[in-house]
Amino acid sequence: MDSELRHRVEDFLYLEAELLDERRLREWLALFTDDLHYWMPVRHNPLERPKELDEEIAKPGESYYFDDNKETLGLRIERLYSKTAWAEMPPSRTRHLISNIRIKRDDGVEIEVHSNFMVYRTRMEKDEDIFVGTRRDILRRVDGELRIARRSIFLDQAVLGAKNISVFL
Amino acid sequence: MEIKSLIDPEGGLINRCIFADREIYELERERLFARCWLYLGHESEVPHPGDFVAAYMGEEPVILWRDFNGHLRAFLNLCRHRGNRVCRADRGNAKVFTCSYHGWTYSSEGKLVLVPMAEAFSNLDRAQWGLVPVAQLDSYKGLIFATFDPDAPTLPEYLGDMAWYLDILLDRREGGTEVSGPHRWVVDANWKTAAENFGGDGYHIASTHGSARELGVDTTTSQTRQWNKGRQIACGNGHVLVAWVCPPDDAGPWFAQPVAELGDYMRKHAAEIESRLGSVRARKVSPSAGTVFPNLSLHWLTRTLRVWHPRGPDKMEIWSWAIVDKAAPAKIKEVMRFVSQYRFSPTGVFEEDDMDNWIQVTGAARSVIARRYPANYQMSMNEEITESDLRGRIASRWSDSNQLSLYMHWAKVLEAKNWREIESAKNG
Repeated sequence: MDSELRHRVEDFLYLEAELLDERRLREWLALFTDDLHYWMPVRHNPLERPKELDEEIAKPGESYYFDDNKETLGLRIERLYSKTAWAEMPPSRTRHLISNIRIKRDDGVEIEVHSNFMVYRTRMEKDEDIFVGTRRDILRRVDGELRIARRSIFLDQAVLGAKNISVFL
Repeated sequence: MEIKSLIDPEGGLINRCIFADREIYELERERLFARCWLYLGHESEVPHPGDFVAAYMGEEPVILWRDFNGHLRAFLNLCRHRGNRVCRADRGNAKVFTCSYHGWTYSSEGKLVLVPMAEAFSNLDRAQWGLVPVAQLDSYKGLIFATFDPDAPTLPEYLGDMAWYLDILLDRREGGTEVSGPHRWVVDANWKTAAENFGGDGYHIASTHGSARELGVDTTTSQTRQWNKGRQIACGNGHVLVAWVCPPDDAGPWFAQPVAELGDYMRKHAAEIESRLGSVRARKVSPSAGTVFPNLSLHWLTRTLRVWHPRGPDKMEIWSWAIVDKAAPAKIKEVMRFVSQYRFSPTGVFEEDDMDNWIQVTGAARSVIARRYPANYQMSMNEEITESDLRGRIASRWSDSNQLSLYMHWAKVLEAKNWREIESAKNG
């Protein structure tokens, strides 16, 4: 694997994490392509050991935490900049830890990147949540810059242990 | 404890301890959750023989299972031997469940069909050691309910006038509805805070959910809110809902739909909807949210079903599903599911803002000092409005009439020793 590409991808994902943790959400949204798909399905415990991960996650279009395009993801973000988006007023403090970065495919235009995340959230006096899972991203080269065209997020929890997910993963 | 004294319907006051006391909670587990009809699942989740979903009735884990004769059954998820759960999956298809501990095996009819080394037991009568069934199970237009109390009234009697309003969501189109989900999440709030909110609280929307509405994301059209003819409806047995009543010049089943695409869909099928529901339910009344006593809530306009599973006096586990017309085209189903989950789910731009309110209301109920000051349920007290073609007791949207109605029924159920007492209190 091209080590220059690896560095570039890692830097990009760390920049993205920094924007999220610094609540620079409009700048974060600008890292996505206009045709973005930001998807996070729910999952369940199967009766038998599944051959594929897909068997224990909800099918596209059915049950999900996020199934957003640029407009709907943008509306979520604009809402958080208003004064009465109470889930984030006062705002969460997050720390996005991104690891196990693997470049799975590169066709010269798009790069498939898998990574793991652990996102710590604390809010108000002592609310605490930890969101853990894996991401499958399609990054696209646009005018020489990397942009996220597709992000699939698979949370490890079946029953979410948090009162909401008002932050981005 | 004198439960009725905690609710003062004339003064519009409620003692906060109902949201936090362990003693009250234990009484709820015995007299309410082990006695009332509770929502288990939707027929579309278990269409084939052997299909099952894991569910809860209060804190009791239950398996909803379609047997090989096609009948729906529900059992406590409990091996009769030592008490292990026989099912650890959330859903699937199973001929039998075999307990992981010692291998006792049960059929979909609940029979104990296999006991390893059965000869080593003295006189084990397998017929006496089947899965514990619910006392009654029935479904209403796709929604499957059960109760652990053999003396509970039938499901149609239990639902009463609420069924008339449920039809508006469940029976608009040929083929009924289907669900996707559930979302499941845990919140440090008493289950009643959510049940009362869905059952009547039109008041909180401007303050709690203003940020979504400012961006044009709403649960109904802006015209509906301008018309502002909202109603609280109490159907008896603790069932309550809020509904919009349509202006005569815009009368149609599309009235109040949250997005234009779904308004168009309703308009396209208006004739079918009206022939199934009749003109009042197709054209005049459009329910937004409601609670089927005790812990099933619905949002008609954004098509969500949810159960507030109790997990102690100050914790609940929310299970929520999107519910769509089975006959709708795939593209419209996707719009319906998106409208639902974008607004109501752990990431819902409406619902995520509700949580801290309910958590802090619950927290206040633990406070020694706050408990000296009752909670206020005095909005539009004693106001009654006549809508002669609707069912139930009607009040203004800006009212606590529904909430008080729910809590008075709640108190009655907790005080009654059996269903006969609940019924006679209702008549008296």
